[in-house]
Amino acid sequence: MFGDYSYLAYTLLFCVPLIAYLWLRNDFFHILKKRAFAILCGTLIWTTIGPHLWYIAMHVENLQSWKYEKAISARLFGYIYIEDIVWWFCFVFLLSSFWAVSTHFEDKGRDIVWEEICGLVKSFRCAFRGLCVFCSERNLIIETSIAIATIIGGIFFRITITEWSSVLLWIAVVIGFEIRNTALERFITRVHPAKSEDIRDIKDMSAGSVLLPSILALIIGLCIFGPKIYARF
Amino acid sequence: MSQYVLFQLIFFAFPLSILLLAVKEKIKIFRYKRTLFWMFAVVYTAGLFWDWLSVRTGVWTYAVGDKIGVWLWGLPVEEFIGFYLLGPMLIISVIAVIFHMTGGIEDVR
Repeated sequence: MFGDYSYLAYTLLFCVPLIAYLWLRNDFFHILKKRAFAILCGTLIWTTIGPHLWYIAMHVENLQSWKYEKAISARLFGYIYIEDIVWWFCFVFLLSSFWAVSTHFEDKGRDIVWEEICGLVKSFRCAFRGLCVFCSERNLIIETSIAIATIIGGIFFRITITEWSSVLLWIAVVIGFEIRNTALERFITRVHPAKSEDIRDIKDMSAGSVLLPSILALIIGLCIFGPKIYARF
Repeated sequence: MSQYVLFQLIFFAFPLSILLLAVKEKIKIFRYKRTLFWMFAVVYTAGLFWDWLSVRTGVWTYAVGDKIGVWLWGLPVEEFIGFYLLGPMLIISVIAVIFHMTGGIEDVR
């Protein structure tokens, strides 16, 4: 998929999101900041040793344990693979950052990974509950019916993968905006039951934010299905 | 002995000596059981998938000749023992020793 950059791309795709997660979290960052020097030292030690040993593994006669089929032609000092340096740096940096954070919490008797997983599951459960609560709303039933009709139309007219991605995206956008609008309306009614001009404006603006993607979705739908329906007659 | 295993022993000789030093200096790496568990859980799932994907998409290939001969999902068994188990363990031992030298975990509170 990435040609000669595949090794580099896989390394970055696997490591960078996890490194970013660890370092961008405010509570983890304070721990990592105090450990930054040690993390960097360990990373540099391994980034120096690792690529050399991998070079040995690949090039020593009778050993040649593995071989890179897709790699960029540039080499450090004419023999070290740039990808190996990036791999070692990213992997060790990630591992040592994780070690610093996790051991810090384990010292306090907490399993931070398990806590993170539980937190994630809980937020998904809440989000799905929100969808279930929303199922009783009139507007959602109308929009879901239109969405189902559009999907059946897509199957019937055999629309392309690009058209499918556009159709599904716009269904998600419209329903997503509708959920946000209903939540906001309920919240305002709850905290401010008395009628006022400002509250009316806020509610109308929120409703308008659903109308706009709905009109655009209608136009997109007409562009995709219009010519196909016209061709049938 | 498989030359690949031999290579891995040479490869890990330096960090293995660091690990032994860590044990001798009573740097309690194995005290962090949950951290070790999650570290290996990720290495043996995401790392395995990464390796498998790389072999599958032809990024790298393993030579057949010098291996023990047991292959799992297109990967030599040495990979599971050497690089998945020993590799992270030894990387962490070096890191733990550096952490110990630059101040105990207790300092970060």
